[in-house]
Amino acid sequence: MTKKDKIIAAFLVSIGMFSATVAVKYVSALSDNQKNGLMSSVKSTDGIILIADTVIDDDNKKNIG
Amino acid sequence: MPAQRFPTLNVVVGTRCDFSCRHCLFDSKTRSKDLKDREIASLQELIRKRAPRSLFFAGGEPFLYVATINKISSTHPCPQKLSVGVTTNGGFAETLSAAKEKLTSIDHLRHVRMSYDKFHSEFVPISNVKNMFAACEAMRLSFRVIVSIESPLDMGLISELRKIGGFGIEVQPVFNIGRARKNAVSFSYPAFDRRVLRKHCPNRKRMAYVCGKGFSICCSYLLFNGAKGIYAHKTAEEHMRSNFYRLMKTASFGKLLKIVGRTPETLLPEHSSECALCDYLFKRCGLAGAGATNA
Repeated sequence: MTKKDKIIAAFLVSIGMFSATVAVKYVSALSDNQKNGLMSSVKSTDGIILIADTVIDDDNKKNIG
Repeated sequence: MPAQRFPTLNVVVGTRCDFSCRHCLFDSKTRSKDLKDREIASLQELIRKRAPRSLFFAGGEPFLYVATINKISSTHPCPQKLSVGVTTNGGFAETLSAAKEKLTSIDHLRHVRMSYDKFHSEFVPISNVKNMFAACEAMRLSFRVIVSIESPLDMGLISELRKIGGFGIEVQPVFNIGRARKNAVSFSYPAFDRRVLRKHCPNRKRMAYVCGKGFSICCSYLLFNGAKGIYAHKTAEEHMRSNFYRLMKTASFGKLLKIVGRTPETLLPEHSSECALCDYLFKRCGLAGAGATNA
């Protein structure tokens, strides 16, 4: 895994999207262009993304704003 | 005995919308339903009795139902303590003043969520997000954007949203339901993620009412695709007495899997989603029947 791969995988884990195992599998299947696209997301999120886990949302989630 | 309280009531107030997004959970059969008078009366009674702290309205597009929303919330016994939220497509926010005017029309509004992603961007410019954010800032309302994604690659849009402001952003995988299913744009998981087995229903501390369906703890696959008498009921009390509600309140998905006698090795990547796994367990593995006796 390259450093970039690790950063992307860590990002996907940190927002709750995938487990580490699944994130590594996902990243390994990406093209360089796709990885570069995801890196731009990593840089702009500042760790405030949560996965919304219901179709309908409410105000019960932690303050992320 | 006093009526049991629940902090949040989510209401799908109607399924009409001014957009027709490719990933919408409503399909052509379910896209023009409005609450009937008896449904509104039932919601009013529930709110009067249970005084939920928060009412959250979604659609369809809730701003097509402002009068109905205000009618429902008007029966809250402590309106000064009531917090109302909406999830909107923000199509009306063409200018700052247009955004403010609409937001002002909903009584007790505190929270605004705007859906903006590659699907909504086919109908609304990103400048509407900017107007909505500015309006919420001016009106001291909390503001978040929900970004629905077909794949993690769709998160590229977030960098554009970040240029507008530091509001919260929630990323939501597209459910394999309604138009999303028909258009094959639902989120694909690369492998089965076992973490789901430790989780509970994300809605277990809430109650939802979906127009034409009824009260349910579920606001996803089972509610939209399942039988009314099992997964949704005419009254909240009836629903809370159901085996389905009891199971969803108490059991993790790992426990539910054990009840139906399956092992994690039998699960597919799409079962990484709580809602997809739940749908599989109840509808494909017979949990609706097994749960009543084995839980």
